[in-house]
Amino acid sequence: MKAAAQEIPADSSAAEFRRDRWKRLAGLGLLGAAVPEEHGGAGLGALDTALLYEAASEGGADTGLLFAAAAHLFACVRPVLEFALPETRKALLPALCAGALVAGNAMTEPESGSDVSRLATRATKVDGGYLLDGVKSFVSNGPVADIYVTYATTDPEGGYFGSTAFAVDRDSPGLDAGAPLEKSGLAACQAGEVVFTRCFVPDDRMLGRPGQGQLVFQTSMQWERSCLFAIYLGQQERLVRRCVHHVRERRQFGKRLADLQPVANRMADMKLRLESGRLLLYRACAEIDDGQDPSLWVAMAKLAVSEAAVATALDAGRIFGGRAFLAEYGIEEQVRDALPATTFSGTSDIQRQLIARGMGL
Amino acid sequence: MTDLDRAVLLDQLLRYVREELEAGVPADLITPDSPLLEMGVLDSVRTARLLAHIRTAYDVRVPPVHMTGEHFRTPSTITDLILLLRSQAASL
Repeated sequence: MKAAAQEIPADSSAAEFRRDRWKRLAGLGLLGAAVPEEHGGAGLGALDTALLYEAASEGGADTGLLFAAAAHLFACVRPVLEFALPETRKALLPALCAGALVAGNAMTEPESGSDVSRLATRATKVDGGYLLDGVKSFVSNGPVADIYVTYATTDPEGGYFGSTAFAVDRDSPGLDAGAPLEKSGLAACQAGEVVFTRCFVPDDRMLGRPGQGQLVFQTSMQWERSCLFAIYLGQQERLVRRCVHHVRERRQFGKRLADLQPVANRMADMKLRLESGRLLLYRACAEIDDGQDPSLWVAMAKLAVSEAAVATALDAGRIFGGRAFLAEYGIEEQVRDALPATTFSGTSDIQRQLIARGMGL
Repeated sequence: MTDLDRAVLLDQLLRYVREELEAGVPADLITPDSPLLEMGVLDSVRTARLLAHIRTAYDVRVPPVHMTGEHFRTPSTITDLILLLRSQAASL
């Protein structure tokens, strides 16, 4: 996988979406990794899926491109697998795994980021399905997706059971996918708005039962907060390796940088962060695979790995000094790709709340 | 698994919702038929805590198919759900 990943053109400065590149991801098994073989996937569990994404990232595949694949698989394909009707699974999963379809995750709203319990998007029951009305933002793969997994309020008084999940076709009348947002990182994953205006979704595209939106979303987040963040383990591995090489080669004050204690200490901290996050992430995946409630481990893994990714990218910047500001060295791109990791899939402070809850506070 | 008397279970559950769930609702408003979802008692955070409590106190894991509003509407319906899932587990 590491070798194969090098073959995927990174080319993230050209942020256009390319179907051929998407098919390459499918060919490597990334788009359907955690889907049973009978549905066209690779049949891997969470831990093996994480190892696959980590290897692709460590091998050099572009972080934004892998993020696009992970958003597709964990936030869209997994909910279809776990919650769609059998005939809907049969209709969608093989094409989603093979890269013939791109899926976008449409949860976040302009007024609903961390607070996913108050969705302004409404789904109104009509004959044979629902009518969706509302605006979704930061939809990963939004501008290019063929299908969207989205969430809408079906019962404003329903509390935890007030929202419902749907898989909506892009060509549905009343669905308008916006242009790519200009982001600072993860350029190869386009994100944009999706607007629903009396957009009809048939009953067989509901995921789970009415009122199970939060359940569907939280289940998908267990996968995303663990397996997706394996991408950032691979990214850190690459950065640490580059820094090791750099500090052994570059000399200042008549010594190798590696022989300067502040530099060596910084490197030790980078390694510690990487390996601590890695152990937590593997443990979280093992909890998913064992059928345990993984919430506590998943929250700790997401928090540790995302914060480590930011800290280590910034540390790499310090180690590379002036060169870190030159685009040709790629360090500034790694910083830009790491920064959103502490925000998406639930912010670091949300993860801390989940950990506190897991501790029984 | 010893069988639980429904009245005892309902009583324990009411005490948990009144004293442990900290929904900011006066205890006397929590009755067997209180609409917990409409009252805002069971939001996502407190539902997760309730599920964890049901798991540890009664050794019952609520499978996705039973995670619906009808089962979590009131303390009574939650009690029935726990009894149902315990009886299913016992008959395995």
